[in-house]
Amino acid sequence: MIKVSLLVTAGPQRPGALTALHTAQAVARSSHQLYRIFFYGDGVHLANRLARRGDLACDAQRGWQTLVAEHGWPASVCVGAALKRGISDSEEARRAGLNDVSGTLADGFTLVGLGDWVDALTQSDRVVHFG
Amino acid sequence: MLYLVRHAPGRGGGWRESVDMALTGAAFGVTTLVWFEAAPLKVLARRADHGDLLAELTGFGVRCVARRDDLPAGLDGIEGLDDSALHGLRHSAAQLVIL
Repeated sequence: MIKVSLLVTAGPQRPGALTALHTAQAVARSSHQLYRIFFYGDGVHLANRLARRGDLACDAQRGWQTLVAEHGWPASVCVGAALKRGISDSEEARRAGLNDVSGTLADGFTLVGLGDWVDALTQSDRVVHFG
Repeated sequence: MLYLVRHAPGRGGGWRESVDMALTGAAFGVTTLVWFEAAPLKVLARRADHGDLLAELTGFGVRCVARRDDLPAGLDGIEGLDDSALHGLRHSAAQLVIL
């Protein structure tokens, strides 16, 4: 068994977002361990529960959010990249003084720092990037 | 760890995100190389603060490289390499991330 992590920087409108999703499904079905999925850059849009876009983008977002919530995949979203794009959980929203906002981060995703990326790099046997 | 950086400083947040990712790895002891494409090099060469921007990386022990023919004069801190050396770096890196 090997530990596999995925880095997703492809935004919802890019084919890489769906390819990454299919890869995550394949790893999860295999005997290997899906150690971490790290969303960075425009990839963080995949964790935005409020986004509504075109067909391909919608499929990618819906697919990621459904599977992360259902299977409890280790889905880590870089907090800096997320906040810059208007994606936050309720705690970050409160910290920004938006007390009436419940956050836009989809269920199952976690906001983390870049240290979690380094952890994925150093602890995984293989890291695959989808940009 | 090899990062191929396509974003130029001052345009969107791509440069900052690329630098932050490389720096975090370097800060945790991951051997980190940054390979700049031609577009960021052109912008860096025009900026008065290019020394400070590059010092952020080199100060953390990040090795910065570029294709020798793409490298403008005056960008100290970036090593110009020929195609075969870059090819070798790419193939010897444990991971390649294109940002």
